[in-house]
Amino acid sequence: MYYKKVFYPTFFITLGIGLFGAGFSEFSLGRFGQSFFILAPTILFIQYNLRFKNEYYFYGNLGFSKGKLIIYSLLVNVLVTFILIGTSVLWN
Amino acid sequence: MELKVDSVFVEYEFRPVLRGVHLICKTGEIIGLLGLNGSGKSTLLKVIQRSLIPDASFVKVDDDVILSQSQSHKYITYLPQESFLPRQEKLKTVLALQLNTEEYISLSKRDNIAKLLNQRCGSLSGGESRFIEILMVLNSPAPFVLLDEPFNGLAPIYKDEVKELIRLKSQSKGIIITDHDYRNVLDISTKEILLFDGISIHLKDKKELYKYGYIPKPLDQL
Repeated sequence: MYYKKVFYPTFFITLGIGLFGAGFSEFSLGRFGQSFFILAPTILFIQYNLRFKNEYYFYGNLGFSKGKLIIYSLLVNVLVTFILIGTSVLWN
Repeated sequence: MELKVDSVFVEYEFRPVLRGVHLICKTGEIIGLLGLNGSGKSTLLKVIQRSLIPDASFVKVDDDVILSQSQSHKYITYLPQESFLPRQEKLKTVLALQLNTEEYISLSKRDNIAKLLNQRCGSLSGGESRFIEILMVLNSPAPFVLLDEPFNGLAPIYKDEVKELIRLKSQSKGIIITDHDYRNVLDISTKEILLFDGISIHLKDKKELYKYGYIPKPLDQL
């Protein structure tokens, strides 16, 4: 639930970058992965430090502190990036 | 059960806000936490819930010293001042996460909740969302509940219902409530603590609120 607000915006923005980043030439999965890695922490900061910061209390009542949620999200970001870049390398 | 809070020191930008605040809340008690704007009421509740960990503070439930939120959620549920429901999630999902099955079923049968279950939390009105948040924290399994301005934005009819519910739940829970609507707080509180000049004053009599400048006239003249 927490990561959804990070994943979806990041996914669609980076998909756009992957598709159109090289002037509509061709889709690049590698570029998609790199953009995801850079953009996801920025989206996380915007979503939870600026837009929905009060939601940390909701997760706090469930036992998830702000630090814990950020660490889990960063780990998932790394995992998604590895999958994307790894797939890109295997594809080529 | 007993929630013990001691030696809470908090300062913001070198300005001391809380200077050695202490309190004890037992299950069965409703503590009215009062104080002027900026006296540190919300800060104290955040320290107790461990979403804020200052340089010095001690929080214990029975023999378990509470150092983090991962520990505190077993004992303490917190209602912050502003709405904290995840806006994009459906109400039924949020309730199912916070409540045990029995409480969820009982709450979802209420007329004023049942009709909202499939709505996203972000589409609820301020009053609806506040009322649901209060029901949610009071029905959570934790034995202590911290309520920060629960009456803010509630219609009068809901305020009475919330007061009744707090009284009912206090039979098995310890509740600490703070609100500028002090009359409603005093109606239900069994003990009152005033935060004044950074320290906690445990009031022996509600009349002391005037003595410490919290209310403009003695209670019987208001």
